[in-house]
Amino acid sequence: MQAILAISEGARFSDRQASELLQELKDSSRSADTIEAAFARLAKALRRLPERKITAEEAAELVQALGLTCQPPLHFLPPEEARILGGPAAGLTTTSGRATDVAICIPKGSLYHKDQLNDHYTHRRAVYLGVAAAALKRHKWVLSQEWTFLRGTDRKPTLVVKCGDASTPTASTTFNLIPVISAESFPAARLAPQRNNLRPKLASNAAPGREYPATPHYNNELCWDMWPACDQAQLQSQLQAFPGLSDCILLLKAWAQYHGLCSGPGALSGWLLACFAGRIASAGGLVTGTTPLQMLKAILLRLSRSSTPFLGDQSIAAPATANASAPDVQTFVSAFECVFLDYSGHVNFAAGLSGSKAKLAQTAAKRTVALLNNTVEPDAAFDGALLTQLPPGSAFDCWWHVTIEGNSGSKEDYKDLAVWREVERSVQSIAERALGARASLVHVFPRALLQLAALDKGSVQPASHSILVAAQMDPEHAGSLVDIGPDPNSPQAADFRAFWGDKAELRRFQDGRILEAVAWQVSPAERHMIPDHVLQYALTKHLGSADVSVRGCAGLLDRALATAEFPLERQMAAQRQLQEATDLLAKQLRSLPLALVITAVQPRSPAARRTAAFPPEAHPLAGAPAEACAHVLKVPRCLQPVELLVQLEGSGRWPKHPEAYHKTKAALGLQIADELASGFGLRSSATEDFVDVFAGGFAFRFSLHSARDDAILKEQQRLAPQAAAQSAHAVNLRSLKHHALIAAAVDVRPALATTIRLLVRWLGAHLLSNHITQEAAELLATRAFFGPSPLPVPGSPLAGFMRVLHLISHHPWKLRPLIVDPADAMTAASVAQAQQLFDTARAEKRAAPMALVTAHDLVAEQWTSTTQPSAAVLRRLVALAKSSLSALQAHVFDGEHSQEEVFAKVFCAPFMDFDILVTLHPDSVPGSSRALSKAPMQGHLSSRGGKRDRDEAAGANGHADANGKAKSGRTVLTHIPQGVLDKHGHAKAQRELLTTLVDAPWACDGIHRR
Amino acid sequence: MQDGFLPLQVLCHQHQSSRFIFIKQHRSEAVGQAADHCILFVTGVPRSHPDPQEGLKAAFSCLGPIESVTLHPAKVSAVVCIAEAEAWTKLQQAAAADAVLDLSLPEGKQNGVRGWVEEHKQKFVSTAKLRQQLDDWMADHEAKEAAEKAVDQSNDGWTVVRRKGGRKKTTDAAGTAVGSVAAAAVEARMKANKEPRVLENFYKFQQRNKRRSDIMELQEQFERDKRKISELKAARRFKPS
Repeated sequence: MQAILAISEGARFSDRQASELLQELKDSSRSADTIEAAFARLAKALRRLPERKITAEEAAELVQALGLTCQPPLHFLPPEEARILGGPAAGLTTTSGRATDVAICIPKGSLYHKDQLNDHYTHRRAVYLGVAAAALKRHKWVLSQEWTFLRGTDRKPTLVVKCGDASTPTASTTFNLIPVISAESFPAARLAPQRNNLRPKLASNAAPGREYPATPHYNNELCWDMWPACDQAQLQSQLQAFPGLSDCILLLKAWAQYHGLCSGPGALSGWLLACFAGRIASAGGLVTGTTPLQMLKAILLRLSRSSTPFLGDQSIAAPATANASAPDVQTFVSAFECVFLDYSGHVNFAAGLSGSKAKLAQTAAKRTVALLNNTVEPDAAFDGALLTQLPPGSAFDCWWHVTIEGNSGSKEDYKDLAVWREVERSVQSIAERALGARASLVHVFPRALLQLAALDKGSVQPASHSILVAAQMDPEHAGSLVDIGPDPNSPQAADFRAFWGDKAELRRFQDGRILEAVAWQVSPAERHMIPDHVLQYALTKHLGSADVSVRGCAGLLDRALATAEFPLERQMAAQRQLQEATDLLAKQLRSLPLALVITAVQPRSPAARRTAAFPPEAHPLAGAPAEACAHVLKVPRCLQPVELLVQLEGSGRWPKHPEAYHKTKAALGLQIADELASGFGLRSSATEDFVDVFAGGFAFRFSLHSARDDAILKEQQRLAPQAAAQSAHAVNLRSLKHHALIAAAVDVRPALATTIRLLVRWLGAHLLSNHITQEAAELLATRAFFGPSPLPVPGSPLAGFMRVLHLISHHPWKLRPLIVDPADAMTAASVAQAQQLFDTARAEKRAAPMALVTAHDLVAEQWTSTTQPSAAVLRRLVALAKSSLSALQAHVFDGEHSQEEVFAKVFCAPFMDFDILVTLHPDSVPGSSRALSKAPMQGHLSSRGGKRDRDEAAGANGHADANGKAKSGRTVLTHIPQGVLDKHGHAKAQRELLTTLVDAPWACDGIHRR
Repeated sequence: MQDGFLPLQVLCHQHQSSRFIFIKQHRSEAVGQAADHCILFVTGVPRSHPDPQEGLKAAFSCLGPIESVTLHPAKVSAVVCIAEAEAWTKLQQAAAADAVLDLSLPEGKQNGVRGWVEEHKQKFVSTAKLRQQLDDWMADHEAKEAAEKAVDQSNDGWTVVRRKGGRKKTTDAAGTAVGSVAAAAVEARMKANKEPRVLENFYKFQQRNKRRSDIMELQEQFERDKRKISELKAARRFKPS
């Protein structure tokens, strides 16, 4: 009952949000009167077009750009009628920025017998529109004309006419002129999907009695012109029966637009979506009186449950009311990847929709329904479902730009699809086969065609030279070193060998099976690049003699994580060594003969949960085996300790006095240090708060904890909550809980750890690491992987990183805290409480600008505060995230810029934004060689004000080398010079090692104070 | 030299490096300046200087008798008042001659990065020293507790015995779990702790009040929603892009 109440509460607010969204959508649409007035003028002009005879030569010149080989003459007659098509005709509101479709009916007298064959109609249609365009151009109210291609089909040029007054171009109306013909123009039976209407020209191909392949797409386009508005009447009747349906369709279109489903060729068109909604209404799928949002949910639910290849199911996609003369539904099923027939039963509205696109829409619909039913975070869920614009390729994890040189295809024979569409389809099938289990969904984005100013020059070609292939990866199999094939004796073995060629080999597996397999030889650090190699190999092998180049993005950001001194391979080895050293130390600690037994040793450090920007490297002076640090050329002076919490068994003999208890714990720490030194020969140093141990090449810092700590903290919280929050035990507990939260999330999502590392590096590169803590960065990234989202979980670090940048740049920080709950531990009540606490804090002006809420921190005070980051820093962070995201999207989706340029745009701080730059000496900053943003040389910055000039002139850091003494006076923190090591020996040098001083907060500390 | 600031090199002995401090003469027409005084703004004082006031006093004493040194709370800038009218001129001459001022630090104190490193090292004392410190503290603490006990006992020799609280032991001295809780006992306890059922809408006035409070709650919710919607509108969340 409570759940139902919660849904209705959430739904009420969602409905209000939906009505606000509808209001905005309607406000931005143009009024029907304006369109009517402009259309009347256009229709009048079309009716008055003069009758003309167009010769074959004149016709060929008019439509030269189409590259059609036949040039039949045309008897041009003025159109029989011009009428508005699609949504506006059915009474739906037109969204802004969209041209209104206008059908101009070509009279039967302009067509010839058997024009349906061999593109004759296509050519005549283009010439007819060309003549109309030339005539319309003379009118003053025609502001501009442009040629586009309907549904990205080169056979369907349409004329986009902008009408209005030159004095007020903003008040113009745009029409898309689409030539259509009457339903009787051609025999319908000959345009069934299994029929052929494109015969080969060459005598060799045109052998008598030969069976020609079916031309379903060509036939479908012709049928579409014959029955352009068959569903209009039915849709109109449904709109009258369901008063909210019109609003629902508007929401549906907005949803498709926000999810990038209705842009470009092969997309879900607005008309298709409107018909789909109308069909569901007529099939009894909607209830009168329901709100538009409820209707939308019902429609999306049906879409998500589509039974392939039908959109929806067969009763929706192929209604029984179809014409008796219409072809059998099964002919459409066998000819097209996706089927949604019109009421005439002749036209497949979903002919251009690929199977992968349909699956993408299906998944998006499913996720949106889940979001709209989300009761824990209804506001964020609604935001993700209907208010967030997602770029078209953001649902994928990997992207490749495939460029094929020298395969322009032959134009000797007529083809059902254009050459470029056939290439795209081949790429799709090869990529699907090659990636196999590595990818759960592979999609090739059909390329849009270039818009032309006129059809008498230029040529029709795709707007982009390269084909964008994208895939949703399966994290478990994406980096597999071996593709396992069938048994060599099975019938599929020959097919497998034919596909993989020389790469296929027989392999014996551990379980004794001998199978066909393909092995990919790459280093462990390059396993994420295997899909790139797979695709390159398969496409090169199967796309004939064409020169194929595949540009993947998997390694785009690798440079951010690896340096020349510490490459990815060594990082992986270091991580493994750290794990081993931690386990060994924990074992040693538990075996110590102490007064109290150590029950558990829990790590609580970013390095232990694999989210540190760089894992600590085995140090030769910290007890690392010689082979582990054979590559170390310079011995580092500073070590980042891995923090551990040592849990002691409970005892009633601890002192009751808090300070005495603390001192007793310190004494026990000392005893542990002694025992480790005497028992295992580990060097350790103790303070009152912690013990530092060098073990296995790493520095560990552990603090002790017992049940008594909890009792003391509880007492402190009762007496002085503020002081209790800052106590060492509170801090330890907090970081332990955080570690458990993030470590569990990292284990569940394989791409999360690398995403966090990328984010930390990105923050550091933009000089924000002292504003956004490591923990805050981890929470941000975790939210991108676990929060309610219309997109699937990122399957690659690049996708994850882009998702985090999107989150940072689009989250309404002023209105809502960011809920991070990977364990699903929060309820609707706790989220509401967190929101209420945030609202109260905001009203009292003490809310953190970046509020990060977790299940154990509803107040959002643990990792961020009012000053860290400040509102100004948050604004800068959002702006940087936006610019970095757009640079990545431009490269990944549109193929713009080289990898180096993109890397520079994303990972180099814009130093021009700063007034003062304090340049630290690299020797004094541990890890300075890993910095991504190198400070510009003095004088490279153009001056913005006197302040910068002054600082540059006087030496911004206030230090100056004093008469040659500076070098000797300088403190080197990066490494221990070899001379010092040789002179004093390792034992003495070991005492000079510094723990914790790796980060340089001290460098900023002084500046902050000023 | 910009904005009237005069850069002057100062030397820190211990780490053999120098740095600049910036000095500007105070000229206030409103207040007027005594002809025999010179007031200087000094900025860029080393942050980690243990006693900047004394250091500045010693450094500027070569210009004349120092009347006062007033430090800014940030401890990196100060106002130095010198009872010598020609102090500014002397300073300018010294700067022109590339003179280096001696801003002496006490022995053993480091500055800059080396200071930070020293500070960091200070956190770690030797094991023996730390053990000694802990033992001393514990001895003091025990002595204090014994003294308190003695005071208690001095009151006619009576010791107040207090009841010891604590939970039921579930483990013995060897750490083995002892005792158990019967499921029936837990259920019985839960039943006993269950709050008595109260019929909230038994009387008519209760029903009326409940209706009224529900309506008020709905109205409040509506107002909250309206406020949220207006905030979302202000943030342009509904704007179609």
